Amino acid sequence: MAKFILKRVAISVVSMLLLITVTFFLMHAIPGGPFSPGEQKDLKPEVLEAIRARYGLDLPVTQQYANYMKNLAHGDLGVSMKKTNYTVNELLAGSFPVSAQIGMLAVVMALIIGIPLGIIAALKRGSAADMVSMVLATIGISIPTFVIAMLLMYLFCMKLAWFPTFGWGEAKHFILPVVCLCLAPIANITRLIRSSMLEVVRQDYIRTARAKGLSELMVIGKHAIRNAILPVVTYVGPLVASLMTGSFAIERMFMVPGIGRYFVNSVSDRDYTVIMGVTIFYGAFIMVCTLLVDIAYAWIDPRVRFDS
Amino acid sequence: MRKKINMFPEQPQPPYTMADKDIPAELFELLPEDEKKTDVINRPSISYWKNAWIKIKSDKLAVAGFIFLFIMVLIAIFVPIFSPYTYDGQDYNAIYQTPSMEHLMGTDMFGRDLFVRVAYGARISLTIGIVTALVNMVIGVLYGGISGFFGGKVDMLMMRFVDVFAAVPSLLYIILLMMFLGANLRSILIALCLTYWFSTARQTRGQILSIRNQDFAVAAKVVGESNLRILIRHLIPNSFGPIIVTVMFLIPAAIFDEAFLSFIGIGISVPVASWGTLANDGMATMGAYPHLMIFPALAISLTMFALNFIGDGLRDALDPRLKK
Amino acid sequence: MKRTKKVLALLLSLCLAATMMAGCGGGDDSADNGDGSSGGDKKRITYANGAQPEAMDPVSSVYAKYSILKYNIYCGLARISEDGVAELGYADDYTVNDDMTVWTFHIREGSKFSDGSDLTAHDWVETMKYHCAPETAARSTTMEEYVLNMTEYVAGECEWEDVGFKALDDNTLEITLAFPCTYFLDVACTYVPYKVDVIKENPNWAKNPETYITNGPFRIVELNDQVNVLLEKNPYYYDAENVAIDEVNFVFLDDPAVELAAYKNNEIQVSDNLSAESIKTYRDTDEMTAAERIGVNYLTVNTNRISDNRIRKALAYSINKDALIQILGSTNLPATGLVPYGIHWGDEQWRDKAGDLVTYDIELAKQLLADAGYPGGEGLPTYKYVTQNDEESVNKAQALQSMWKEVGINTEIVTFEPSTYWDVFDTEDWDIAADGWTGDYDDPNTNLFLWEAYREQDPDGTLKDARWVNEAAAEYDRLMKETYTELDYETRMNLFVEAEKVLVDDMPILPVFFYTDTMLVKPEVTGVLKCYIGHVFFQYADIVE
Repeated sequence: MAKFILKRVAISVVSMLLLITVTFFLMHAIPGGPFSPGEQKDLKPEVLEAIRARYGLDLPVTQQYANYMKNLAHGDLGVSMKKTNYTVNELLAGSFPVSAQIGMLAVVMALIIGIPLGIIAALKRGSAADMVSMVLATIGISIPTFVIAMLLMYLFCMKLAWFPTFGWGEAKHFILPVVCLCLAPIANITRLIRSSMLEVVRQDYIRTARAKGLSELMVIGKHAIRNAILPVVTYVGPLVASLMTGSFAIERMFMVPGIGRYFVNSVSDRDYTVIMGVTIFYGAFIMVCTLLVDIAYAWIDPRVRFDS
Repeated sequence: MRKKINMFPEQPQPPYTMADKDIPAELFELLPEDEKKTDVINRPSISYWKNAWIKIKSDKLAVAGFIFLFIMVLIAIFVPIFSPYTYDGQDYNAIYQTPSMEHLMGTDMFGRDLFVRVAYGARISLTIGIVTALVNMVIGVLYGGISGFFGGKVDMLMMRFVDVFAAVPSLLYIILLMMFLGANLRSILIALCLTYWFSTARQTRGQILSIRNQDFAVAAKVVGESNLRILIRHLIPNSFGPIIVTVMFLIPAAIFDEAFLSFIGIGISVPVASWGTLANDGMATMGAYPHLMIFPALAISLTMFALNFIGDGLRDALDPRLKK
Repeated sequence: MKRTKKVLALLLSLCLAATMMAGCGGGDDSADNGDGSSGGDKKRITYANGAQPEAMDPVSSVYAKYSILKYNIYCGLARISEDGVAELGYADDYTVNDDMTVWTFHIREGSKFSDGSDLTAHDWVETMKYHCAPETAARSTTMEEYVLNMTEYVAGECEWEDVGFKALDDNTLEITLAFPCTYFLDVACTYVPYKVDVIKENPNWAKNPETYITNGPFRIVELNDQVNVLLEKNPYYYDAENVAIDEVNFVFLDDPAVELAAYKNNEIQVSDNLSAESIKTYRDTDEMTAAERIGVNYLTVNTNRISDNRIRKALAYSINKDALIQILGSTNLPATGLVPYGIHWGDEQWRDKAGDLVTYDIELAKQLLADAGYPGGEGLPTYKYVTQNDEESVNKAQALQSMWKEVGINTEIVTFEPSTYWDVFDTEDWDIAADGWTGDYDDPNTNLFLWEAYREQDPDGTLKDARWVNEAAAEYDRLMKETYTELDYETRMNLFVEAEKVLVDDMPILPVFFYTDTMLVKPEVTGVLKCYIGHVFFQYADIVE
């Protein structure tokens, strides 16, 4: 077990180093930079040079890389080049909790709704209930999140005006983003549960349980669900990671001050330090979540340890 | 079943005739004609693929998906050719028209026919989906196949490489690559092709690992076939079912990602439009002209539906465990 | 055992989820949420400011997104009056010498910063000294181009003592200019005092309302990153008795569609980031106002690649600006020259007096193209048109593409993000580039200086090869130079007319629009001012039921 964990941690560390390096050089290879004169036609070029020098952008890229890695080793992600006076650590600390909140709510919603829906679909296989839940599940994975967000926005914010169009902090601001975020996971969980449930109910021990006269509720509740739910565990790890780190489309549309907005905006702003910071944070978060799930799984199922 | 079984095969069996024994001939009776053929397998043998075909034909949703997709392909090919309008032809006398017989889906701010633009968008989106899926299938299957077949150190190295890259959120790379390569169809294809093949590779490797020591593979080896031939002629075709399912689901994923990239403004460049850009443009005016948003959104969603139904159908059909 | 493990594993993942949620619970303790709910009996206006400014301090910030906030929380020696022209602000008197180079301002007695501390002439000097110091490397510019030796000081070439910016005593400020300037009061509006000692002590001052000390009609009470900035009336403002509004809430919305919805739902009362749809909806109502801004939208032509001015003119005359405006659903005006409406010539619009120089004339365009040797565009290469990737620019590009196609000129549109666009612009690897400029003060110079010869140079003094450098350019430069020394108003204005004619006659740029600023204001809100540089002022506003 220890060896397995060690190996996985080692892979993660190498992945992180690679991620950082590739991102750093790819980022510098993109045309443009954080300090271009822009529309400010009356700005002196010398001023821009001075600003670039202040952020160390006048050094060769390899030197910048070395400096960056040195600071990173001390846990310092640098200061934002665009958002003056903000350190990247500050930006992450301010925006991650927001994304994490709606992300977590979406995960919980997805589990609460997806699991029962999948079970019903499996137990009443071929019935109308199955059809309805499968069609719902397919809708969930077929309509892009941004389309759903657009429709909800149009209907509830513009036509009906039930929800505010912007703002942050109260329950009413959470509802639409969470609904948008949880639809696809609900669909996936429903499908997962349904297929694993179908397999489980065919197993001998379920037949045995029925044979010994247990009520259907007991058979399903006590025996089937426990085993059918396992694939969801593997799915939930990455899901938690991806939802909590924010969705760019959702955060943009509902004006959520979360981390997802930095994810894309920093790239188009060429805010080098923020690009790196968000990438590292995002990558590390996903890796930790996957790692935890893998360890949990290896612990349950010894075959995994020897397989890879 | 009346079958003659030789209970003592090691005993010499001299040729003899009826007459040699003193059993009277009348004790024998003739086997009825209809029982003579009982050991013949009447049902024609159904191959794996044929079975899959039969199953998928009976899956109504999958068939509907196929039909829809077929129609969509026809629209994508022929509508831009035969329509009186072009995707970039502007008509300032017909701006913001709602759907009518003249313009089936209405017109946009430049008076361009939305139906033609959606059809043209279908070309882009379907091209992206299909090309990405095919390229990734080839790369992934070869990579995974080689890794799984050779095993050992090769496998270790190759899989660690995949692990390292797959651990990284691909969207970030796609965005960086797009900015590096410029916003056009070619860059989207390159970016998606570079980042999608990991899952196919992993899956192929798993499949190959599980069948490479089966009898038919060993037999091929004994006969003296080369490694490459065994891999390509025997192992890969035999693990194709599950792979094709994975690849099938890559198509909607690629269309999704392209739509997302276009939606956030780093996809296809104007005046060409993909479904994602059309939806994004439509969003700006969704209060006054919802049709500009609804039709592209419908096109994306219905195509996704069709592809997912086909994918589900294929999975059910190709998964031997689900055989009844 | 195995079952326990499975259950535990599931629990583990849920715990993982739950701890993270708990750990993030601290996020929603901010009481104010930036929505439009009214604050009790206080008079509050909620205004959508577009996206959040990148920088929240006046030294690093350059764009209008911040300027609007800046002019509501700061006030200069002069300010924009209720009628939208420059008037005295923190200075209550000034004198100027005969050749308009030495301006002496008298600062109001008892001037205070928003924390109640004294604001003297020395603070104004300290501000300038800090802002222009080479080590500050300020991104924004104020009046350094005007003040004697200030450019040298910014470049680190001279001492502060040599700069023509002195406090004679606590209430007297003497500014010596590098050249005569008749419109210096307009310039003085852009220059505001900072609490320099606090700024130097605390590098993070701009993140905290307590250290964000200003001197304008409002002061910051709350600052929620990416969400909003809440302002309250500043009791220490010299003109506080005439400020009727108690609170102004600047919310950050970066999508015009959302902004329109918010306005419709009365979540915001003032909206000025309007989409074509909002303009269409409110065009004929009293809630919408449109006023000219002193800016012009034009296309720069790479004169090195398109060297024949007949082709450049053909490009200009084939632009149907009225159709373009209609398609884009904007309220902009067709640009018939380069000096926009809003610039005055005495009491009249400068533009009206100077007349129209370029209008839509497709036949003339075709004729010019034929004269140049390309009848119907035959033989012309496909021109590369570069532009930014925002919606309006891209839409404009598509419409222009189709208009040029009409006369036989083919173009290829290449879009770039705002962050790379100006770098691409500098590479000069394009034939036609989208461009635009909004001036700072009510004088034709604010727009026309852009094509003076010194601006066509690279930092090392060599000429940029794509820019306008022919004989006409030399003539333009000569005329512009004269305007700097000419003190007679009429003669000076006529020099500008002549210069503009030279420019439009050679057409190194193709004028497209004169900008207008549009704004939606709810009927109960009065007195919201949008000035000629596009900024919104709330100090004259009120809410009447």
